[in-house]
Amino acid sequence: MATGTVTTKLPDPVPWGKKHRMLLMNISFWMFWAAFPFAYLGGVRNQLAYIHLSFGLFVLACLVPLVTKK
Amino acid sequence: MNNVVALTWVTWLLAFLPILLLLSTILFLKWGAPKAGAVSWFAAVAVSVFVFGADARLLALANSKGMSLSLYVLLIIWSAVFLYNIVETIGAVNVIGSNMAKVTDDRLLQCLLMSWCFSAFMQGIAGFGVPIAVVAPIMMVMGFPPAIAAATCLVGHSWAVTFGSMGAGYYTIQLITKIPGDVIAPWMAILFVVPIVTTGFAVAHIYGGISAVKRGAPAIVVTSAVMSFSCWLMTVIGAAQLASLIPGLLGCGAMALMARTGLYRRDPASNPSVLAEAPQGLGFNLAFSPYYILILVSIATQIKGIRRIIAPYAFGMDYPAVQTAMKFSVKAEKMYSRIGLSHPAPLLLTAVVLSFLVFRAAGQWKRGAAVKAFKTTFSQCIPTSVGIITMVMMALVMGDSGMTFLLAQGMAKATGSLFPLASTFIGVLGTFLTGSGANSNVMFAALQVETAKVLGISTVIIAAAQSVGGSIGGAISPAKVLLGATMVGLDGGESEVMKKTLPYCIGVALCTGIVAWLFVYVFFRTLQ
Repeated sequence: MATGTVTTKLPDPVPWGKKHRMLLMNISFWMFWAAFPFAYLGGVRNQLAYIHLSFGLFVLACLVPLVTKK
Repeated sequence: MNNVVALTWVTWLLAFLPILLLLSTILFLKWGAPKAGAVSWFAAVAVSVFVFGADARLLALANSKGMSLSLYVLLIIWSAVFLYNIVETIGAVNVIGSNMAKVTDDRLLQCLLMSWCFSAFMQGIAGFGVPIAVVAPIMMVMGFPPAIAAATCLVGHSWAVTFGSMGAGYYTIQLITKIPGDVIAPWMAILFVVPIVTTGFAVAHIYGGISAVKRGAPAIVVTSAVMSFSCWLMTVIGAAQLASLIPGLLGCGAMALMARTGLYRRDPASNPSVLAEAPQGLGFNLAFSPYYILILVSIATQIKGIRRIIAPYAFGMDYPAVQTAMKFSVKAEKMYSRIGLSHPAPLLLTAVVLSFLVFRAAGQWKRGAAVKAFKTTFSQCIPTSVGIITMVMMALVMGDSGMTFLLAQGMAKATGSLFPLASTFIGVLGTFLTGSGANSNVMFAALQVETAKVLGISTVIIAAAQSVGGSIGGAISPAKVLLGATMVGLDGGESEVMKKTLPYCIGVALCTGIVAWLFVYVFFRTLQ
C-alpha cells in the first residue's frame, strides 16, 4: 500500500567556514601582528630564526582566511 | 642601477600573476578581499623568490613594511568607524539626516543634496561604505525608489573617496609613491573638478533623465564650483584630510541656498519625508558636535606653532637598503610610514573624547555607548583589516622584488602616449577589485608612477589620476553595490543597481582620463 511519505528536509547546515568566519578572521588578524616584530627584527638584524618564524606566522595568517566561506 | 629580469611576455605575465589571481578570485569566484588577498600574497612571494631572485631577508623586510603601512591605514579606518558608531549609537546620525531632508521640498535638489553633497560629507568622516549605508536608507524613507536611492548614493559619493575617511586614500598614495602631500594634493584637487561636476550631472540624470539635468544645471554648476574650490583650498592650506568633509558640508550649504532661489521654489512631486523620531533634546548642532570638534581639531593641528610642538612625537621604522639576486635595489627608509600626532587617528580619538564630554554635559550620552560602538567597530573592521593587510603585503613584495617595475615597463611599452587615459581606468579597476580607494592606491600607485617614469611623463599627474580613478571606482565596487542594494531592501538587486551606476562611472573616468592626458601632454608638459 502506498502511503503518503513525509520527507522531512533538514535545513542546510551552515558551513563551518561561514559559521566561524569572525573567529577565524580574528585569529588571522592577530597572527599578522604577532609576525610583524619578528619580520622587522629578522630583516633589520639579518637573523634567519626570526625571519623564518615571521614567515611561519604570516603563512598561517594567510591560510586562515582561505578556509573561510566568502 | 636597477637591472631587473628581462621584459618578455612570460616574465610580464608572471609578474602580473598576483594581480590576475586577485582579479579572478574576486570577480569569478566571488571571494572576499581577505581570501583573495591571501592567495595573491602567496603568489607574489612564490614569483618573487623563483623568478625575481628575492631572498628571505628582502621578503621579511617587504612584509614588515607592508605591516607598517597597514598600521598607518588601519588606524585611520578604525578610529573613523569608531567615531561614526558612537554618533550612530547616540542617535545623532538620524538627526543629521532628517535635518538635511528639511532643507528643500524640491525632489531633485533633495536627491542632489543627499546623494552628492551629504554622502560626500559622510565619506569625509567615515567612508568604507558608511555613506551608502546611512544616506541610501534615509533617501528611501524620503520617498525615493530603492534602486534610485542606492545608485545615486553610489555615484554621488564617489568623487569624495580619495580625501574621504579623513584622507586614508590620500595618505596611502603619499606613502606608496613618496610624492609629498603638499605636491600631489593640489593636483588631485584640480583633477577632482571633473568628477565633482560630472557626478553631479550623473546623479541628476539617474534621478530624472535629461529634463532633470537641464533643471538641475544651475544648482549643480554653483555647488560644483563651491565644492571644487573648497577641495582645492583644503589641499593648499595643508588640511587635505578635510578635502571631502568640508566641500561636502559647503556643498550642502550651497544647495540649500540654491533651493531658496526662484529656480527651485516648489516641486509638485514633493511629498513629506517620514524619518524615525530623533531622541528628545538632540538638536542638529548637538548631533553634529563630534564633527564640529573634528574639524576644529584638524584645523588646529595645521597651525604652525602647534605643528612645531607636536612634530617630534612621531613613530616610524627605519629599514635598510636591500637588493635581489637580480640586482634590483630597494632604497633604505627612514621613519617609514610615519605616524605622528597630526595623523588622522589621534584627531579622531580626540574628537571621540571631547564629544563624550559634550554629549554627557547635554544629558544625551547613553550608558554603554562607547562599549557598543567599539564592539560594532571591531566586528566591522576585522575582515576589512585582514583584506588590507594581505593586499598591502602583496603590493610591497611585488614592489621590493622588482615585479611592479617590470609590469610598469611592459605597460609603458604597450600603451605609449595613451597611458594617462588608461591610468584613471587602472585606478577604477583597483577600487572595483578591492572596494577601497586606499587599497587601489596600494595595489597600483607604485606601478603607475614607475610607468610614468619609464615614459618620461609627470609622475605627479599620473599618481593623481590613479587616485582620482580609485575614487570614481567607488561607484561600481561590488562590495559597495551589494551594501547599497541591501540597505534599501533590494536583496538580489545588485545587478539592477550596478547597471545604473556602471555607465556613469565609465563616463566620469573617461572625462577624467582625457583631462589627465591633456595635463600631461598639452598643459603641463614640464611638470615632473
